[in-house]
Amino acid sequence: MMESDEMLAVLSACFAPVERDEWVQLTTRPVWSDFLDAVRRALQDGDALGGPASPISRARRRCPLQEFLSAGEVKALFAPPTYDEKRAFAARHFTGGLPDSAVPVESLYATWSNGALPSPFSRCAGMYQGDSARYMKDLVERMGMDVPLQFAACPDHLALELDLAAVLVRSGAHDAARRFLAERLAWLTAYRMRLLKLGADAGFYIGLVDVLVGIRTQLASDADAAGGRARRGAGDAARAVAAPNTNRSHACI
Amino acid sequence: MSEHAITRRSFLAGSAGAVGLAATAGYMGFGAWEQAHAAGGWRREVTTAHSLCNSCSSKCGFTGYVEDGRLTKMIGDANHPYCEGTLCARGYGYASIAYSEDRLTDPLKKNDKGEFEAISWEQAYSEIAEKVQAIISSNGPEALAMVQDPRPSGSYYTKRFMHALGSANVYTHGAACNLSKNSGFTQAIGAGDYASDVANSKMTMFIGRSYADAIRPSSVHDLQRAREKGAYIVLVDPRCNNTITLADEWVPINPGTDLALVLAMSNVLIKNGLYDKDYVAENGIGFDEWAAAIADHTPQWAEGVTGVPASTIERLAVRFAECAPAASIEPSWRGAFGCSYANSGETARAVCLFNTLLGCWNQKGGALFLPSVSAGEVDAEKFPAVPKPEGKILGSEEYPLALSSMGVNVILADKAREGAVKGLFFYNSNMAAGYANPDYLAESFSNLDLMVAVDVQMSETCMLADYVLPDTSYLERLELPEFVSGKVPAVTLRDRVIEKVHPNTKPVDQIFSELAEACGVGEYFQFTVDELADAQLRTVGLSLEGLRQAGGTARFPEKEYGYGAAVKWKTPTGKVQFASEACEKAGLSAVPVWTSPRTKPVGGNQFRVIGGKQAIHTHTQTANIEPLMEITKKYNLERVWMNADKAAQLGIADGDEVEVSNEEHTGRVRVKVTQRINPEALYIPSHYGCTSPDQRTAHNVGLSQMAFVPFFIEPGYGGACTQEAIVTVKKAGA
Repeated sequence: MMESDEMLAVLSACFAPVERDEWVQLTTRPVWSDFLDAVRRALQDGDALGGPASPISRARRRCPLQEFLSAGEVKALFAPPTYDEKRAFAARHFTGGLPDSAVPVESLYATWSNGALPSPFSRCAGMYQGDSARYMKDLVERMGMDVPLQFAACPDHLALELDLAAVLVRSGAHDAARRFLAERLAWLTAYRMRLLKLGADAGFYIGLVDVLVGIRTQLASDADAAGGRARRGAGDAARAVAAPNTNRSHACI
Repeated sequence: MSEHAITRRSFLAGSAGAVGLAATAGYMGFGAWEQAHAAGGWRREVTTAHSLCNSCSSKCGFTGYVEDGRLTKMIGDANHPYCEGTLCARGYGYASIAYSEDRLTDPLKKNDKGEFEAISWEQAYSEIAEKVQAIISSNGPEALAMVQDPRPSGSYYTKRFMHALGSANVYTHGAACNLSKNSGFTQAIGAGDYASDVANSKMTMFIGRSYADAIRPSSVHDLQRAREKGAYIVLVDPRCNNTITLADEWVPINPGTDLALVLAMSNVLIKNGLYDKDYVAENGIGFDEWAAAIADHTPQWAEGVTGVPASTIERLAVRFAECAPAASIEPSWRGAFGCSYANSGETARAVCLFNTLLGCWNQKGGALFLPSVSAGEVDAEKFPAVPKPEGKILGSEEYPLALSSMGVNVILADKAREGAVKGLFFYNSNMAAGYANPDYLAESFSNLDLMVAVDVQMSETCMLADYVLPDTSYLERLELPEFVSGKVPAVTLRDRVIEKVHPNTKPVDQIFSELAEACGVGEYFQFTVDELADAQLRTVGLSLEGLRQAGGTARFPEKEYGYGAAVKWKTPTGKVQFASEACEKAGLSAVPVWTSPRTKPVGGNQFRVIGGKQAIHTHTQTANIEPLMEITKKYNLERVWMNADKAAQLGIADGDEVEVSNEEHTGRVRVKVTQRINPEALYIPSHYGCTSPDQRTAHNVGLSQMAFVPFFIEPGYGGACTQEAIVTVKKAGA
């Protein structure tokens, strides 16, 4: 069974330039089907990002992906692009300055700076190296790593954000990973709008983004639930989980 | 699953894809990070660098402040001769280009569907080189050409690249800027330009130039000084431009008739003996011929042509004589006679001859030839000279008066149609949008076998290209030294302020050096820009590091200008040429006489299109800069201007949407109705009408001036005739 850190790493690779062999290995069975299963679990249960699956979660009924994604998205995810198709998509859409550019970089979909840092373009949007990029660079370096050269322009590239989340999970910092993902993936709603303009070509990536939006929703609702638990006390835990969470995944328990 | 499985590969961490507990303890949320920065609790690395702005061609000096790799502020350098400590709005706004969403990030190739896709630099170089070699084999190197808007490194490397390939066809943007003016000046005085000593003048006339719109801060400072000293400042312009706040008089001339005004003022001086006879006799040749030829170019005659009352013409001429020699007609730039009309070159000649009548050359307050310094010979082994191409630059036969240092770029459209040019390179040039009729150019360029554009964003020219190569922004590169003429000449430096934002972009020196290598002429490019910059600076007693330490600008006080120096006229006759043999050979009058513009509105709802800069934009280059376009939108600067009386006749009110139309183009835009424009003219700001959807900020805002301009080249001089366009205007929907 694919663990959540691996699922995040595969998601990262989907948005990053990777070698042919790597992509072929990722998208052939059983890796890809394991990945889709991990995605299904993450959408169904936010705890899936918290660590090894618990006995109770293993006992839950497996909700099909169709519960969380449209039929078209599921179809697209079950048929990942070939390496050449992925490369061709990136050459048209993951490069800057074209009308069909859809570079997955957070700065392009967020306010450049809210003024915490000195900045001549504070209120502007749609520019590289905004505060989210600065934050990612600082964070990576605080954790003793370096931003790879290929992401130097955009440390807040989706691939790197997902990779950092994977590293956090793999290193046992599950709470940090959950907070990080809940905080960082907010821009994907705007990014999804950009992908939608590309039409059918972008179906695979829209599906992936919807997976991430779903995971974030799950994390956010779990965070709410955790907050509720803290407020109400342990005795109310079951009620607190059930009440605010209207996510369909709970209908499958 | 294995710890080393493909699913555990990480861009960040090592092969295990994990980090230790101590590392994860370094995690902090975004809010905490923001607070730490806001509270000043974050150690910031602050660097500064002196560099040159690129928002227009003035290249003002500034100091860029960078914190943790990101630009935080820019301060104009007090020592820079054009800047004097002040940057203009576009200087600040244009800096955002470095971080723009619309930056080109990878080399692009147009595919069979006409869509661009990213390719590697290696693929781009090898495919371009293959096509270059094929063109040279089949048509010779003269079938290749380059168009570039001069920048310090761009001028050097593009020319060197083309010459190495054996082609002399290197063009500046000049034919759509100041080619006619500089070429006309050269015919009269043997120099392509001069400088009016505005600050010390008693009277200066500006023809179609607005210091307050096409801002060079030091020029505005000079104008302020002139005003404080009581100089009389006259603006001759169909449109009352923003310099009016620093001027005494606006002369709302009919567009395209500046030549008639200058000739009539000359007529007044000659007829009344108010010119400097000794100076003319000593320095001029052909004066009598010219005087006879313009004897009938009286103020009364000129009133009918220019719309300027004869009394005004006479008054201005007499005032000039009273102020001489501390007076001149300012040389202008693109303005009214840089390239605008079929008579632009002749207007330029006449302006020089009028100044000669004033005897104002090299006189305090007059028209000056300022000194400059240039780099000397560098080590020929390290920087080998490229053999001069055998052929002449294309267009020199058809337009013999055009300066070969600029070339007639627009002729490339016809050469492409004829098949004489097969491969075209563009650097920092949006020729397809701004130099001539865009449709005509696009159709012409479709005949090319190879079209390559190097730029920072997807311009209209890039859209037509087969390959687009992504340039670094000006903030990210060192360039060759820029030598600046002036009363105390200087050398300045565009230096790297920030690291490359996009790792896969390259500066011009690297692009053309690597392209040369791919094309088999790499032996001329075995040096870095740092090495060449240092070598050039050492020829004038400086060094690259020394210039950096000096704040990016160094002066040459030993070359300081002194008033009164005799001029050595670099004309064929060694004199100021009131009559020019070369002009006569080119089919023009030997002496400048009245020549009509090619077109003229006949009244009713017809107007002549005029362009002109706004203070926040430079041609089409800055329209995609969001902070600047915000100003456009806030003040509705995209509107066309129409005279209030004409508007009333046509039933058009301020703010109405109007339809502007001619055979070339039809478009709609709102109108500003004002008395600040001549009734014959319709002002279309030169910055708008972007048709590139890739430029998200600029796309579809306002009208393109050039879309209305029929393709036509000025006889003799080669100017693009950018204001030889007549349009009709009506209220939209009427």
